[in-house]
Amino acid sequence: MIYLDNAATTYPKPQAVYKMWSRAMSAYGANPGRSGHAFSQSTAEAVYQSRAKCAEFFGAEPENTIFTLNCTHALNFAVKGIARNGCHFVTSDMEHNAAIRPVYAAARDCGGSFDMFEAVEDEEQTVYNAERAIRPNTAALVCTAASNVMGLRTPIKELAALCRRKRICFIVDAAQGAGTLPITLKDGINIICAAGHKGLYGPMGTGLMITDGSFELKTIIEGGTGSASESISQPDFTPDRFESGTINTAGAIALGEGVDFVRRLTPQRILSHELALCERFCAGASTIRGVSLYNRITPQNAHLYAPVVSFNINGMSSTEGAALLSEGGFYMRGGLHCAPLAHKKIGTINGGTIRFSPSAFSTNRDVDMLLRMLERIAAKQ
Amino acid sequence: MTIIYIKSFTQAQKALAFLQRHGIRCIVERSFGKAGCGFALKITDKNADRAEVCALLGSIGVRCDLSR
Repeated sequence: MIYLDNAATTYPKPQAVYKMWSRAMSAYGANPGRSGHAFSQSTAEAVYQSRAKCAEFFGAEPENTIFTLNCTHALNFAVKGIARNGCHFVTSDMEHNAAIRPVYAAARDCGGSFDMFEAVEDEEQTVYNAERAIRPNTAALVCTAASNVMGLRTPIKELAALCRRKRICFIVDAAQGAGTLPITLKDGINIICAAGHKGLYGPMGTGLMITDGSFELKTIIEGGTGSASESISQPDFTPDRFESGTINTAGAIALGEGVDFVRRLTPQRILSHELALCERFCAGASTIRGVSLYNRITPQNAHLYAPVVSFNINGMSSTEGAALLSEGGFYMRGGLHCAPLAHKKIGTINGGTIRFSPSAFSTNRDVDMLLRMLERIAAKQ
Repeated sequence: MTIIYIKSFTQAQKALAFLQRHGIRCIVERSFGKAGCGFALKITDKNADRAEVCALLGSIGVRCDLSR
C-alpha cells in the first residue's frame, strides 16, 4: 500500500502517537476534570499536558486551546459563535464546506449575508480583494490557510493585519496548514481552527479551536463541564465554555505526541520534504500524455502552495481514476474533496480531481512508483 | 496552608506548573463550595506567602479572589 491521501488524514502516525493512544485507553481511563479521585486527576493532568503542548505550538495560552472533535467542529464554534444579528461574513472563493457551510448557515440564521473574495497567486491582490469584500457590519473574515484541492496558500499574516485594521475577527481554517505552514496567533490571527488528525499527526476525532481571547464567542453546545456546576448557564471561562461533555480523552492525549513529532521535525522541514515530493510528482506527471495537472508545483512557485496536487487521468472521472489507482495499491481520493468552491475555481466541478497529498513519511520511491502506475493506466486510455 | 480556589482545571493546572517552575510546591484538588464544583490549588510550601503567590499567578491571568 502506498498511502497518499494525507490531506484527508495522515497515515501512518508516528509510533509515539499509537503508543500513547493505546496507553491512554488504560492508564488515563477516568473522566478528566470531573471527579476528585486520583485516577480522574491523573487523566486530567495528561490532558492538560497535551493542551499545553498544542497551545505552545500555536502561540496560545492553554486555557484558550479548546479540544474539539475535528476542524469542522472548531469552525462551527468559531463562525456561529461570532455571529450577531444582521452580521456579514467574508470568505475566500476556495473554502472547504467545513468553513463555507457554517458561514452560510450563520449568515442565514442571523439575517445577515456573506461575500467571497477571489484568492489568487498574487498575495497583494488577494488582500486587496478581501478588503473590498469587507463591509461596516462584517463580523469576521473566515479563510483557509491553503486550499485542500489545489494547495494555493492565502497570505495569512497580511490578512490578519487587514482584519486588525478593520477590527474584525480573523478565523483561519488551518486544516491543510497546521503542522506545515507557519500558523500562529503571534501573527495576529484571532482564531485558529485545526484538525488533529492531519498535519498534527494525531488520532481521528481530534481537533482544536485556538483563540487569542479577544472576541467573545457565543456557545452552540451547552452542557456539563465539571466546573461551575451550581449554575444552569454555561461557564464564561475557557476551555470549559466550549468543552461540554466528555472530550475524546485518549485522542486528545495522543494528539500531544503528534504535536511533539511535528515540533521535533519542525513544520519547515516537513513542508520542504512534502513540497519536494509534489515537485517530483508534478515534473513526472506533466510528461505523461493523458494526465492533466490542475496545479503544477515547481521550485519557483512552491512558496505559494501547500503540498497538495490535483490531477486527472484523461478519459475517466476522478473517482474512476482513484479506483483504478486503488486497485494498484495507491490510495488517493477522487471527487470534490468537500470543496465545490475550489473546483468551480479550477473548472473541475463536474468531475472533481484525484488528489496527491504526501506526508512526512512519504518517499521519492512512493512518487516514482505512482508515476509508473499512471503511465501504465494512461497508456491504456 | 494557602488554598486558592480556581474555577477551571486548566487554569489550576497552568497555575500549578507556573508555581512549580518558581520553586513553589503545590497540588491541585477538586473542591466543592458555594460556587459549585471547582478546583483548589493547595500551596504546600510552608515558606510561600499568599500575596506573593497571588502576584505571581496574576502575571499569568489566574485570579486568587474566588471564594468558596
